[in-house]
Amino acid sequence: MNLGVAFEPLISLPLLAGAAILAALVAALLLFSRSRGALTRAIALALALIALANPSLTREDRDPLTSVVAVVLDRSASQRFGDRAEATNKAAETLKERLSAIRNLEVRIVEGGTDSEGDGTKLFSALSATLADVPPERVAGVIMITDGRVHDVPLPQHLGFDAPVHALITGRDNERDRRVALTSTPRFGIVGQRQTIGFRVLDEGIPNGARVNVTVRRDGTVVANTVVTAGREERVQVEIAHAGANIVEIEASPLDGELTLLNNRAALTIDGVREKLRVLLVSGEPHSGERTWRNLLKSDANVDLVHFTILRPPEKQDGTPIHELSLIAFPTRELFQQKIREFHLIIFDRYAQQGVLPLIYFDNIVEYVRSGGAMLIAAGPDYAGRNSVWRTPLEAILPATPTGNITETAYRPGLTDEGKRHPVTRALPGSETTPPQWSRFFRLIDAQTSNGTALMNGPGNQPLLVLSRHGDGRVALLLSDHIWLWARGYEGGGPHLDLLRRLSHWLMKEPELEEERLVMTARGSEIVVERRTMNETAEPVTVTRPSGGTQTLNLTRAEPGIFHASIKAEELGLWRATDGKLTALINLGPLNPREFLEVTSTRDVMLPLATGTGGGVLRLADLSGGAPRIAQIRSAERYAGPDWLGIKMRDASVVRGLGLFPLFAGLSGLLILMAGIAAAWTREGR
Amino acid sequence: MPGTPRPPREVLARIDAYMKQGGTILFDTRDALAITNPRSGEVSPATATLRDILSSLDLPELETVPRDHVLTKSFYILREFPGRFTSGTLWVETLPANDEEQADRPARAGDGVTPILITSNDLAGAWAISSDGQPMLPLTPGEPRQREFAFRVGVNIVMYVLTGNYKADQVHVPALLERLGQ
Repeated sequence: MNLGVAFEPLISLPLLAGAAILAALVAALLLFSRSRGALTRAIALALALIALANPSLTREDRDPLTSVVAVVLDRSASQRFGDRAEATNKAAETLKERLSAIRNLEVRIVEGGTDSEGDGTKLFSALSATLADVPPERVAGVIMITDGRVHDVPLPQHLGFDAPVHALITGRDNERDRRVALTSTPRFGIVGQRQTIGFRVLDEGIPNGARVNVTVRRDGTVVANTVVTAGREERVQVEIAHAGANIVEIEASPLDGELTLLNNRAALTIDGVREKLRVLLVSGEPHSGERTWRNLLKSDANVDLVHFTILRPPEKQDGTPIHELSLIAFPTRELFQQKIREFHLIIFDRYAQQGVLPLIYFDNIVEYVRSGGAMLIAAGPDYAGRNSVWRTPLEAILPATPTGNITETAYRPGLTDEGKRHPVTRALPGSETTPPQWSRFFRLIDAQTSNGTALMNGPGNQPLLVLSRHGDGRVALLLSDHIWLWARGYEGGGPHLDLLRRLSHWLMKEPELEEERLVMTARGSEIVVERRTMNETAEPVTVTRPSGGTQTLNLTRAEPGIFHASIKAEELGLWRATDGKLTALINLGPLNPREFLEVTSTRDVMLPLATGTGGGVLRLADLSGGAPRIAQIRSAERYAGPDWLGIKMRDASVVRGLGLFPLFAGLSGLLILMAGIAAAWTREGR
Repeated sequence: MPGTPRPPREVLARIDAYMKQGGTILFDTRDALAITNPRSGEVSPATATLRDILSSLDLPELETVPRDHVLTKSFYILREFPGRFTSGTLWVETLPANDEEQADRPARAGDGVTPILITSNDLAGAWAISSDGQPMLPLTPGEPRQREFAFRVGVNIVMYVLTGNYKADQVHVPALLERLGQ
């Protein structure tokens, strides 16, 4: 409770001043002339003046407010190394005890750095959240218990309150850690070419210059091993193996006694981009399906098409002068001898051995396929005939033997059991229903599968589409030339675009279309592990978390050829899955989280702010008892010492009530005035 | 033929669908002689009938075969498209104008194949032979090799509808092959 006196003059201030001067003059005159009762008369005048000034007694009821101190605990991932977490908990316990003992002090404990975005430790956002309802003049101070790696330290003038910010640093002075920092990270690379990645191995806590073994992995398989010097910029070349995401990891060998192995590994994703695919299309004769092939291949901006049609085979020379013909020579030697390896795919469309290609070139094609090329035969009646390409050295790699018959009835192509599982034909649009929703074909070249897998079949379970592998290469055989009916919308058409696109991509080894595949995808808060296989069952998959723990998942069948399992994705970083043969990688969040870039504990990050606010930065390890003493300070320049931290106690209070008692009002004022005048009069009259 | 009744609506719808899905129809009014002065804008009765039939179809803009059209080189090199007559012209879908990039291309490649061909030279009349291999109809004016060229026109049209713009692309092949292996 506060008492006071307040004046509220009854007349305006200049008038009151004038009256006071007049009264003072009169009093001075009276005193000077030594007239009788001068003193009492002056007193009476003064009382009259005071009455005019209308004094009143005031009374304030005030409640003091508590000061607030915030204790922020760093719970980020880097605080889990060594005994940091333990030291943090112990210090927090002791601090809580010591602070609670102080009267008029409210202690707020908050955990920070727990957000899952992985963009570093953000203790100050946690702090402003917890102090959001506290006016700045009640903040008594902030104590942060952290490893010092805080990524959102503001300037002192942007803090928003005037109180000391202290930091208690976990960990030790002489910590050491090794990490890999990426200096040049290409984002794209052309498939089949090499990309250069720049990196640096950084040792903290020991001098640079150590020799470090570095392992480079692409999609989980080791592609390079080198020895580099710590601290020096190094480069490594990695081949971009396939289109889509190539995840490259660079891992440095561990340092003795280092804090964590997590940052010895840096990862980056390089998007593989295919250069233009070069396709050689050889049409044996003009026919309706030829335009379908052309349109399909030409509509793909990624394809450079080299197309030759045998418009006039050699045996049809009729003596027409050459200048009246618009014919172009078929550069067989150039195509099949000199430049055959430049093609990604060779398509023979209704091609028969017409004396155009010498047999030696077929040997070249077989060699080309075995060493990694791709060939597609779109067979027509020619395949069953005397001049069939099957009767050339190509026979060695053709997956089906023609019987010599041709079935010419209307039939609806169907998927075989393998076809329902194979990525080329799985879930082909229209195949959901029985019979499938696509138009009929009217011709099938009868053949027997010799060493391939039939994905589609025709009447009597005869193969229609057969795939096979030879060495590193692939061969596909389509045993009907009627797919153009699908393209022309006959009976509603069919999924020719999908089928032929997938087929050509499978032939060119697009990873998307591999039969045996392990894939991880992030779906909401889960990671879905998907195994695509041609088998009836799928092996269990071992999943390795970013932090190193493993877990085995059993996969359940979702649809033909696809098995699923999912796992909660509660950690950010690089997840891997393997079933022993196949591996899959997925990265959640940023590839190289800030949190793990620098992990050695430090005082330096917090020091400027602490000094700017008068606070201190102390190492927990230097303090006896694992926590500092707490001092209550009203006002000072420095709020910290070698083993103590100061709390700025605030005098904030809130007014609850206000009382007012006028002194010269009413009867009491009249009585006092009357008494004064009466006394003066009595004195004068004596 | 003049006075041929217009086909019923469903037939026209089917013709339309056929042309939209890549089919090509050759119309031959066989009346090139009926117009004495082709530049007069005069319309023969058969042409008028054809116009009437086609008026209900959604047809592209037509032009006479340009000199660099694929039809002129899909198998034989042709400058004219004679049949039993030679004075008629062959109309095809207008191809987009050459832009500068393609200016050096000897043959123009539209996106697709023209869905409609119109002539008045009576091609089939020139092709017709009796069972003993003799031509059935006389030619007008009867230039040397006119019948041979009429057959060549037929071959080129068939090659054109089967191979599309194949011939137009062939001019790029040497350059494409040159680039390979570099």
